[in-house]
Amino acid sequence: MGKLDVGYVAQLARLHLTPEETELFQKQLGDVLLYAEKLNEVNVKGVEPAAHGVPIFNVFREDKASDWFTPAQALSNAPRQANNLFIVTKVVE
Amino acid sequence: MTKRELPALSIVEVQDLLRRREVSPAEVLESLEERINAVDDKIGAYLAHDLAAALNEAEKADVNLPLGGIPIALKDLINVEGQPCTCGSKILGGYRAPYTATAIEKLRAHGAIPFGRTNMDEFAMGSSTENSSVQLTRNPWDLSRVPGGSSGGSAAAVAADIAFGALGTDTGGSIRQPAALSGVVGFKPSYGRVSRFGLVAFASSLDQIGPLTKTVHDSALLMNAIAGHDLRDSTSLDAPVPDYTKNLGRDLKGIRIGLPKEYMIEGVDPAVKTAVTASVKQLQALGAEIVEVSLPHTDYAVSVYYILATAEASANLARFDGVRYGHRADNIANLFDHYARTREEGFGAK
Repeated sequence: MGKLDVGYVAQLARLHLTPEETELFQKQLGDVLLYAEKLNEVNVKGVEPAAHGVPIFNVFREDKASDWFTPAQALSNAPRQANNLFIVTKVVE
Repeated sequence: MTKRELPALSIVEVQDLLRRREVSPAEVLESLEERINAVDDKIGAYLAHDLAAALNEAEKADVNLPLGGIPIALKDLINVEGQPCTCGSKILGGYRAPYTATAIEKLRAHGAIPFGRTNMDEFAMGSSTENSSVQLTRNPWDLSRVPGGSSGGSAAAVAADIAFGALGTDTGGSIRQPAALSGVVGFKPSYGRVSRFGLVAFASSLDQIGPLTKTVHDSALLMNAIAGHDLRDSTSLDAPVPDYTKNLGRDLKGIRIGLPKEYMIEGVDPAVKTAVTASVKQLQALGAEIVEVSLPHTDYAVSVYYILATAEASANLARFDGVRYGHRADNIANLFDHYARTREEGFGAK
């Protein structure tokens, strides 16, 4: 299995890592990949894929509007807000 | 019965006193509060508890309901409107839940009073409660030991008689293991049995809410309250809920129980082995037939768990981005910096 690029993974996860953290996570994530490798031992030929033990398919509700959060409730924990809207960091430079 | 002795009782015993009007729901709460203040400094099971709010609910309590007037502690990742819900993380430090989980609505419909938020490993990731970003929780039987985790606060609270019963959650053992380490009854319901609506998700395809109690009877009472289909959780099981108390006290004639041989391998603590053997003997004495079975893929369970749980956790924790709720870093240079610094400051190492 190839060496994992922890710096790239951190960038995807939007995290700054120190060199020490990069080294630590390199090892820890490597261990997780070993788990995946271990599963290669299992012969699954002829075994049907199973997504879950409980067979539940296509759960739909009636297509009807119902009461849910008011704007005040939805905004009650917002770090920054104005005019009933969330204030976000500038997305387009 | 003095107020001092009340907290040591089981739910069934307190219920009996409440129904005979020997104590009031307010007195039950006050006795618990008194004991929390006396011992929780040493244990650290609770992150928060609001006596005034609980007393308000107690005023309207109907003691004839199945859990009427019984305070129940909640692991700090189940939303109850107006209460904190930190998930043991700094990122949700100032958060107040704007809505209530289905399991808690059902508890209340059965008369219970949500009282107290219990400590946990951050976002339920851990098995000792040492990964809480808020505080340590100690095992009430031996303060130098951990109570297990991630529902360690709930387990310790029940073990220390500072909760009559509590809810925890189990993704990969987080009810069963702390219950075992703290000497209380823990039950992990089958996936889908209890609605996850209002539960902060760790690994959605595994998470289940379940009870931690002093007795099996109490566990059955809590299951009767919280189990059942919920339209707001699309993976909840649409099947009739049995009365979990109906088989209590009966013998086990005609019941066959499988004992997986892969579970009794090298590395099992001798004390655990002795306890399991004693339980098997007890079940046999009650009439159950014990059959050795084989679960040949047991060895792969941990591998599968670590792949699924971490993948689902990374998707679920993406929502803590400092936009709609939770911590947001100050003096942000750009969008990358917004996410990165918010998470670095908010999340613990785990």
